[in-house]
Amino acid sequence: MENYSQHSKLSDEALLQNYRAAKDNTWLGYLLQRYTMLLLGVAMKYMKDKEQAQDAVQQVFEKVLLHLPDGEIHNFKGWLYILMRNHCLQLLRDKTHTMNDEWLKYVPAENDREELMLRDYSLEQMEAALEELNVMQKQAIVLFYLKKQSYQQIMEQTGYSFEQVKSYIQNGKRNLKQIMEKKLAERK
Amino acid sequence: MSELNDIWHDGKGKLPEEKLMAYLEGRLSPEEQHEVELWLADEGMESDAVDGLKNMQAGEARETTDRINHQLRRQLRPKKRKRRQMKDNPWAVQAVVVILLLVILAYIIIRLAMKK
Repeated sequence: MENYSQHSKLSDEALLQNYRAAKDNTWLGYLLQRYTMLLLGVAMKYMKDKEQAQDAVQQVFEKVLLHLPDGEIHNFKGWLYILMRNHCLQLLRDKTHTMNDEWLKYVPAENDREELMLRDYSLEQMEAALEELNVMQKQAIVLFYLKKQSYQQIMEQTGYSFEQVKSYIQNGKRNLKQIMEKKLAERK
Repeated sequence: MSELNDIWHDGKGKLPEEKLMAYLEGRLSPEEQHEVELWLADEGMESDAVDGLKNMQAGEARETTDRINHQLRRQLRPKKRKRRQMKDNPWAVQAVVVILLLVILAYIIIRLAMKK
């Protein structure tokens, strides 16, 4: 295998293209190694066990190497993330062998990254929307985005835990988006 | 309040592994931490990964990642071609037999010639 650093400057799309052109799994290997640590983290989150997480990542690599779809993948990273997450959920479901839906609690809310027409909003409208958030979410959003504070600094200032800060920012951001979408719909 | 516009911008490009490790090990300045945390502000791969990696000891994530990558590279390394077995090649066997017979014949002829 050639030196990995030679390929580090290529985009995911270029590596995928090279793989498809050469039908050589080596290119896919370069691509997968970019995400090993992130995938390990995702697997750890769901499996809660180092050995099982490592196995899960290796199984996902195997899946990709053997069954990469022929169709175009526009966002390889996003595709890989969903594959890893679903694989872990499947493992958890197989492990419990029960029909209950307890595993569903591990499913994070859908990631809505689609570009919205949010730039149409004036800052005044955004400030007004911010006021509609609950106190904790508003506080976390203001400290993180306006004051540019780190989670650690927010934790020290508010007494919230890391998980709370992260959750208030994520949920606050999502709620803010929903409020503004609603306002946009009303405006039209 | 113009910074509020930043809310719609996620972390730019890719989150480098080294930066992620440094973040988890608490080796970054508050400004750098904030930069990494921009990736965590949306539910997605980085956010889930940090949740998981925080449950591993420092260095453990790096070691495990290296192990997985090593295994992957080994799996992808082109297999060495198996040396062809002589038994699979009848011509080679026949050639060896002929050469051996010739050597024995030559030995006998030389011995006979020396006796005379």
